[in-house]
Formats: sequence, C-alpha cells, structure tokens
Amino acid sequence: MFSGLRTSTVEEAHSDLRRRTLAKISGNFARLIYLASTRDYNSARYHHSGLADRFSPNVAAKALERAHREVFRELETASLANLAHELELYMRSTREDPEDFFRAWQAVEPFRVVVPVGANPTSAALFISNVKFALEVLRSNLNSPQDH
Amino acid sequence: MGEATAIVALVLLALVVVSALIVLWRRPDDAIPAATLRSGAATDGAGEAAHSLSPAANQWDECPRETIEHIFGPDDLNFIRCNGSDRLRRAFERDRRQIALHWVWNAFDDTHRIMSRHFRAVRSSPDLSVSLESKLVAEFLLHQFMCLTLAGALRLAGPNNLTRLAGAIGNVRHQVGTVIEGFSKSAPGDLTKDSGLQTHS
Repeated sequence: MFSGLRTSTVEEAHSDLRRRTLAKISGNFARLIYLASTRDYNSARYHHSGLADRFSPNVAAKALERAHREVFRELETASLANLAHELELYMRSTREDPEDFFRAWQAVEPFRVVVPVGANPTSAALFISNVKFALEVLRSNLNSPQDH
Repeated sequence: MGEATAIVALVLLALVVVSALIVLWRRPDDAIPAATLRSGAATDGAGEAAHSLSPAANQWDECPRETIEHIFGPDDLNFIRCNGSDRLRRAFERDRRQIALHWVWNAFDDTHRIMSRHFRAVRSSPDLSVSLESKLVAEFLLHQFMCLTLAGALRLAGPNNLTRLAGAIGNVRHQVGTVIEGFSKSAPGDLTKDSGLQTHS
C-alpha cells in the first residue's frame, strides 16, 4: 500500500496528523468530513500543507488517506444509533440552524463524497443508507421533541 | 423402499434446483451489477449509491465483520422502530434488504470468480492434489449453496436476524481462501490476489 515510501515515515506523519489535527476535532463524523475535504475532487489526491512541509507531499497524502480509511471504518462499523449520535454532534458543531442543516444535507447529500476510494461497496452503501436514516430520525426528533 | 427414497431425494433436488433458478432469474431486480455501480447516478435506493465510488472491480477493501453484523442484526431496525414512523421503518427494511442481497451476490460472484481462476491455473498442473481439490470443491459448493439459501431467506423475511447464516458464509469463504492459499504455496502466482477472499483472519 505504501510502496516506494518508508512505512515508518508514513507512520510518523499519521501519528502527527492524529495528534496535532484530528485530536482537536470533536467526533468521528467531523473528522471524516475534514479528512474528505483534504482530498482533491479531480485527482482524488490528498493534500495538507503543514503535514507536507513537515514530511513530504507524498508521505502526507498517504498519512491522510490512511487516516481517512480508519475514521471511515470506525463509522461504517458503528450502529445506526451511534452514527446518529455522531451526526448530531457534528450538526451542533457546525452551528447552523438545524432545519437548514437537514434541508441542505438531504438535498445535496454531501455524505456521498466522504467515502474513501476503495471502500467496500457494501460498506459504503450501508454507510450512506445509515446517514440518510439518521438524518430522518434526527429531523423528526427535532420536529417533535416532546415525543423523545 | 430404496426406490421411494431415491424418488424423494430427486424431488428434493429438483426443488432446490428450481428454487435456485427462481432466485437467480429474479436476481437482476435486486442485485446491482458492477457496471452500474460506478455510474454515479443518484437514486432513492441507498444500496445503489455508494458503488460509484469504487475504483475498479476487486480492488475493494474487505467488508468488515461488524458491518455484516449490522446489516443482518436487529439493533438498527430496533432503533428505527423506536425513533421513526412506520413509513421510515418500511423504507429502512427495503433498503437493508437491497444492501444484504448485494453483499450475498458479491460473495457468490467473488467466490465463483476465484474458483474459475483457480481451476484454470491447476488444469495443467502436474502436482494436482485430488484430496485438496475435493476439499476445495466441497467448500465452494457449500458456500454457493449457503449464499442461495441466504438470498432466498432475504427475499422471504428480510435480513433481520440472519446474522448467523451471514457469519457462516464469511467463515466458509475464509476456509476456501485458506485452502487456495495452501495450494498456492506449491503453485506459482497468488491465486487469491484481487479475489476478495480473506486468507488471513
């Protein structure tokens, strides 16, 4: 997977990324969004300026890709209840109006582009399905808070 | 007496074959062909969506066991039952059935593919081990039969509470991978490469 690069260097960059950046982001959903945002839409290549300066662009890209896969795996293997909780944490962290957030997420479905390349199709399908149902549940809870 | 037993066995065999044919015949309705998985078209069925992200066939990560447990387990459905409407529950069950069927047919196809490759590779091998090949064929047939059974059960009852059968399929897949790995140690080339079969736990 990391052919051509020293595994130990990628390991260092990966732990550096986790320690300096990801640890400061609360919740795995927010981390997933962040990591996916470091991936270029056109080339699917990851980029992080600080990490690339400290290591190299290639090492930084590999470390980001690995972290992206790890965080995705944690969420894809989470129960729907836990995923809904993570999504709610993320929604609150954005400080958007919840109704606006739900409207945008259900219309644009940005969660479709946060799946890492190479993710198992069944896992990816389950993740996307779970996010859609978590959004439905959270939105209905928002509209009828007295029921829950 | 022996004749009656043979007739019963034949009838049962015919039923199994007919059931398998029905399942396979109706398969395109539920299973999502690999070619369409990369089309990127947004659909209502979430089961169809994520495949647009796949780089190429057989270059995917293995589906984690926890994911399979969620697909076939009752926890997520219970969560929806407690927190959602009947309409949402029905949509959830429909979605999960699609995803479960997709997993089953993927397992079926992957194993079929690796076995075809294996047979092509060993056809001309001078070191053919009959006992090893027999074991492999038995494991392969068992796996495919379990996949068909699971697909049938999914059509009849949905994925809820089928975790054990899905887990058993995962175990047989693992065994097939182990047997092929055992063979590949004495034959050139890695037969499990890109197969989707796990050869290590």
